[in-house]
Amino acid sequence: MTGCSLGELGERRGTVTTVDLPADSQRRLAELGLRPGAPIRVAQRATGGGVVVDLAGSRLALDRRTASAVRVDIT
Amino acid sequence: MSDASCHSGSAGPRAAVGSPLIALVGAPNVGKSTLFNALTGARVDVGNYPGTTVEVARGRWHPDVEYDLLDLPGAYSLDPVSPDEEVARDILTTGDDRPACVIVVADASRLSRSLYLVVQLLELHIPCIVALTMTDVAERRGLAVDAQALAESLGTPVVVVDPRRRRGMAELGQAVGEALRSTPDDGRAVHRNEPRRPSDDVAAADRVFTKIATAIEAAVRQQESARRTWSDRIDRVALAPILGPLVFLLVMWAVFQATTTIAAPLQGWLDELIAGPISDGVRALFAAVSLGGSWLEGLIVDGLIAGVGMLLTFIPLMAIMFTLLALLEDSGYMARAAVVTDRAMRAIGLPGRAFLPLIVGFGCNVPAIAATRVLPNARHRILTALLVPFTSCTARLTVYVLVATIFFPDWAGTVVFAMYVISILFVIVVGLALRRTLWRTMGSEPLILDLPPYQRPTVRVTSAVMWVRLRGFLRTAGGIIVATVIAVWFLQAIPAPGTQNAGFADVPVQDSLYAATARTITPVFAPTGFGEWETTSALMVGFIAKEAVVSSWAQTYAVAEPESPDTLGDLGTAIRTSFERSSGGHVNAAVWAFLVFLLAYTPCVATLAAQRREIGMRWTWFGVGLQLSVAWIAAVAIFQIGSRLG
Repeated sequence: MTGCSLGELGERRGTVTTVDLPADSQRRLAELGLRPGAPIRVAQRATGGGVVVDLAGSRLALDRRTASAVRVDIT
Repeated sequence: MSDASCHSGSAGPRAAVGSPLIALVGAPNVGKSTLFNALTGARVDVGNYPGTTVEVARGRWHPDVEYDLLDLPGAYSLDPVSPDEEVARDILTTGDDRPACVIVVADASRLSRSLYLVVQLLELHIPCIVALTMTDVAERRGLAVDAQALAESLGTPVVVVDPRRRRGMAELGQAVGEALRSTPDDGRAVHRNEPRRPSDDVAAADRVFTKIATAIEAAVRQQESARRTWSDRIDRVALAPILGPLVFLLVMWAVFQATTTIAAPLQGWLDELIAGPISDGVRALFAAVSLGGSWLEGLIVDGLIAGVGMLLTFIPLMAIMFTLLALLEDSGYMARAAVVTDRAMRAIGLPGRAFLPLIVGFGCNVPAIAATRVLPNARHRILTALLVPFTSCTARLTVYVLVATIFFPDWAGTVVFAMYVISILFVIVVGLALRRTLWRTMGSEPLILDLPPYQRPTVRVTSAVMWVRLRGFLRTAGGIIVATVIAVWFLQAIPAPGTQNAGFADVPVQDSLYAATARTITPVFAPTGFGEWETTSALMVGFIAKEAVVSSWAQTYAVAEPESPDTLGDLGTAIRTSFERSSGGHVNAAVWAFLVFLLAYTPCVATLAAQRREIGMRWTWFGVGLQLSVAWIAAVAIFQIGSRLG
């Protein structure tokens, strides 16, 4: 397994390993399902360099900075 | 904040004293407000929670017994990130008037995130019922949710509802009744010990996640692997790097067209109806009872009817705006618009969603202020509502055109265009200044946005939301607008002290208390180059409505209002002479100073009324002070620099 940031995941599927953001953002992401261990996939790239991720069927939009702070293991 | 029952104007429907208080909570976009509307019908009262600008709706719900139903702001958890979530948390966990039972609205298609709040509430022993929505969306995605298994795993009742088709409403009522019966006394006593605060340590969060995972494991069956939904297919376009902004601009263009091209003729038609046939009819009635020309006639026709008429002309505009907002929100596009505009708006330090109100502001500021409620964060809402008045509405355009044609006949178009550029600059610069001073951390928050699946808006939901908002606008904004128009009528009717041979309501404008007030204020404008009482008087009228500036000028100079800007005639000459006098020869500098002042100062009393509704009186006054200072400083700077240069 190799790791990369969510911004670099591309078409592959991965599992979240760490989220390097301030505590409140980290908690909000966790509440929305983005937390270590969660399977994740980039559904598409969004306007302005952000991404839309697929988390267990639901869609979450993240800006570029946030996406690059999420580390994933490619599965 | 101890008493949740005193939020809002308290004029709205209220359940009988002692009816159990039931709160509706849930993450944003799970169908919570739709359920609230379905349960309460039109018996709703929307208002800001006391001491905040966070909107809380309250209504009566009568399944078998009557309940007092509270629609709390969207919240993912009891650990607040925004003021809106803080209000939801406070109502649920602190205070004396806590709800007897909480209905958590959970989206079956995105169950895991909907359950966070449920598990947190259950850990605090707050009785709650899960209302499961969007089971149809979940099914289309190949997810089958077993409500029974979910209820068993969570240890709390789960009811499948479809508020858009009003299914499951009776079952929900039954579940609430049972929950209340199973708690001692009136249900409120059970958690009336000390305020509960959710713990936010990591271990607690892990425990919550484990419980959610167990519940999902037990209740959700994925029937087929996740395939690309049509929602994703729309997003391929709506969120695409280049197409996305184009789609967004197209949607904004449509909104702008609807609030200008479609609403304007209706507004003009109502205006003519009230100023023409209705006013004439009432005058005829006064004449019939031999009161023609009396002060009472003046008060009724030029004060009351004119004021109510002004309010009425806003109805089509606001109805269109509220319908469009409801459509954009209900369909799911609003969340996409926030993503598309995020980066560009972030560059000027504003949240992405502020784009919509600011665009609408160029048509009319009043619906634009109402549109600030698309911003989920109360601080963003206040900032945007303070910036909207700097967007140049079409009412100001009429004055630009007149003034530009008088003073710069050969390049009037360029002058008008420049005013729009200046307007945008004002929004950016004032926005940056406010953020640097009042809200330093704003704009640095990351974009983390849950995208709900697109859905077809329903007529029932859209019209219900539109009606509740329109009624709220008329109720809160109506008084201010009518009262101000009547107050100005009185000022113009009362002769200034020392005036000879003029009675009440029988005084030429220049001898009225109104003109005297304008003369008193005029010295303030000396450094701007337009310090003549006639100009000040026009600006005072402009405080009520910018449309009235031109007619006020005509009135004070006692000349006919020009039929079109091409035939300016006497009014043009009078205004030119006035500016030549006041500017000491530096006419151009004074005219630019005047135009910029007109752009930046208080747009109209209806905007203030709308602001009062959205952000409260204190922020509205702050806004008035801000606009007047910005307008005055800019005008002085332009005249002082301009007159020295040329």
